[in-house]
Amino acid sequence: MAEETLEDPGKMQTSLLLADDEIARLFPAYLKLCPEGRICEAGPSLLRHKGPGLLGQPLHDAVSFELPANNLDIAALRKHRRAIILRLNGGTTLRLRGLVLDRGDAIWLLLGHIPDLELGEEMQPLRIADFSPTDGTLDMMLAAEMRSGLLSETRALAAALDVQRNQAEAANRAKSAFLTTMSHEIRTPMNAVLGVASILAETDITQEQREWLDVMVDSGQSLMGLLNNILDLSKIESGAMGINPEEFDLRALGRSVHGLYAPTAAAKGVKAELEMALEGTLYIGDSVRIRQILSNLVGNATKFTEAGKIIVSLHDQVEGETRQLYVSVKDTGIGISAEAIDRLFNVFAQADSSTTRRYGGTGLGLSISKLLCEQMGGEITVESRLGRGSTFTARIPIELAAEPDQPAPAPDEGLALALVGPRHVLIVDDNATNRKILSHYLRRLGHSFDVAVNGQQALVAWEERDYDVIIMDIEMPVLDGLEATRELRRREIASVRDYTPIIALSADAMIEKRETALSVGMDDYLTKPVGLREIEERIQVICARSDQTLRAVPQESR
Amino acid sequence: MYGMIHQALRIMVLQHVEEAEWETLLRTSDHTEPLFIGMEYYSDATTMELIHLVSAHLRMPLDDTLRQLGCVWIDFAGASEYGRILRMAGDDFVSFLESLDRMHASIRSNMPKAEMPSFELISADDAELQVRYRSTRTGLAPMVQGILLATAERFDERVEVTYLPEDGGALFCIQRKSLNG
Ligand code: HEM
Repeated sequence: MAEETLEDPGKMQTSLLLADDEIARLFPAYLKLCPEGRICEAGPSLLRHKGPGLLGQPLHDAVSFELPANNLDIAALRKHRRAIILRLNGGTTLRLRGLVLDRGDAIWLLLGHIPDLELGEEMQPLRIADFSPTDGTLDMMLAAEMRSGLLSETRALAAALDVQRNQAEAANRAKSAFLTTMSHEIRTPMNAVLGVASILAETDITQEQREWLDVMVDSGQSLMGLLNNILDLSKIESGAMGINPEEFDLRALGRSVHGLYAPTAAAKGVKAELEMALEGTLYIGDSVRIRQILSNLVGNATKFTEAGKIIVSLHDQVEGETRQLYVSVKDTGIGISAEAIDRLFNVFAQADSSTTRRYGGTGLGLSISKLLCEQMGGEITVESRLGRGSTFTARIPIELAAEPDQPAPAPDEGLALALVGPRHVLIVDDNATNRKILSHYLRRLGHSFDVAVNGQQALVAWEERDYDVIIMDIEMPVLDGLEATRELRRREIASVRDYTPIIALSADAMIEKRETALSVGMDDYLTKPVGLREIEERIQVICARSDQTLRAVPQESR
Repeated sequence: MYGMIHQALRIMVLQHVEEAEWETLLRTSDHTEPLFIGMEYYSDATTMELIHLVSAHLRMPLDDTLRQLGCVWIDFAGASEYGRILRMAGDDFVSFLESLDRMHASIRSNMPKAEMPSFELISADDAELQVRYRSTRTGLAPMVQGILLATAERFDERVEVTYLPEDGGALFCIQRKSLNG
């Protein structure tokens, strides 16, 4: 269209003018006005959208100007040399931009569409052919389309991933639930095995048989420990493990855990020292969880130290707003390599690693301790070098409790020493093996007893005579241990009968179960399997307590 | 080619076999991700390898595979997030063919790595349309054939499409059997 001939600049000027059909091709939305300002021609795009009625209309009837803001008359429009923006009147969304070309006999508005990128197809049915090839508007509009396409693709992808994640989580939950059920199921017969083993231990057997029995009990107990760990872990993972802060004696806790492991260490020639740099004695925290963490750390140290010593230290200090308890256990054991440390606290990484074999067990204890620490707002760290021993440190937020004015009442353990002769006991358990084991214990300890197989029978027996103590299973058919206890306490008050202490005996080591049992009026909670000595100690402690008129103290105050 | 082509290929494969087989095919290819992203560019080697794998797996000659891919592409594009772009190309077969070049050129400014084909409507009357296809790639004429057939169907036209291979493309003859049904 532009024929350039340098020899004749005048001709070049005229040849640059656009032929009318070229204008239509380059500006499919053009408007051509006759001198008095009526629309005499319109581009194919506008005709397609508005129909031939557009032709013959005065410009200012057909369109509204956005730029320039004031409606110019035709004479002023001819001279306008800057951009114009206008809207087509009459219920369209069409917005156009362009320039004025004054050709004397006619005025051309060379226009292109400005699509509204927010508007949907129905509101704005533009076609590729509507767009001028001279500007980038079509590119812009398609870019917006591609972008929104990409966006909905991303959304669909996110939704699909969400479905996948939910499925994976559901599968994971199902597996955890399975593991939990299995652990429960295995624990029940295991209880019986250990119970029978301890009965056997009390009989007249040879030294060799006793050694075999020890192996059996050891293995059984480590299996029970593992099962309890699995249950704890699934509890924590499902968020069902609550933290119950209460006042407790931290020094006693430290001494007790240390006392538990020191003999085992000493038997290997390892000295276990306890250092306590504590500001107080009574603290507020979840003593059960703190004991669990400390026991785990000390237990591991004892297991993996063959020579040298173990230093258990407890100290607390205020950091910023909170008081922190540092429980640290330092050993001179085999140590842990840097890469093994990374896996140490990860449940699943443990399952298949050499760490497991070297450090024994499944390493679940450490994972649990870590999770417990975190749940209490703390953390566990470890410093170790292979062959140089390890130091595990748990940091746990804790509160100092107000020290009482009077000396604290003598601990339960003191009472246990005041052995006060044979007792009359009611055994309540639906499981025949458990009943047999308990009966055997009580007989050996010189206590007399009656037997009931569910809560209902227990109530009947209790109505008939007084017992020094009732040992009651929790899960039982007909009437379970919790309901039976509630009912018994109710009747006790109604009939003004003496308080009968009740010891719960359950296969469930969960801390919540214990809380529930105590809250309905049980006095103590033992987890199966119980040993002969444990049973005796609890019976004596509980009975001594009720002898000392501590009876009928509301459970909440414990 | 951009991922949207591969997404169409997946849809096409799923018309024959289960998703699991497509995933196996993907694993056999050198494409290491589980899916293709529409606006992501993948090398032509990946694209062509996959098309060959599909053709072998479905026991379908390469040309038929490409033709089917072309048909599916139009259905896919029409039904997908990019449907509006397809509809913007025109309301009848002829203006659609006229707009194809501009459409691809315009899309290209948003997909800078694309090597777009070019389509030129050479002649058009009630009996026959002639379209010249040019591409930097070779061997995709059967796919164009599929696309043209599926497009005609979108506009309720029954057509027969043949082509003469040319240097850098092909000349397509579209016989119009019946106009608008
Ligand atoms: C919404 C509609 C469409 C979109 C978004 C689209 C987009 C694309 C894209 C992104 C490519 C890949 C180029 C590259 O990655 O190098 C492509 C290639 C291609 N397109 Fe389209 N296209 C559309 C419709 C059509 C139609 C209607 C035809 C009709 C014949 C067509 C024919 C082709 C062909 C044959 C190729 C292969 C590349 C080649 O031959 O070199 N496309 N298109």
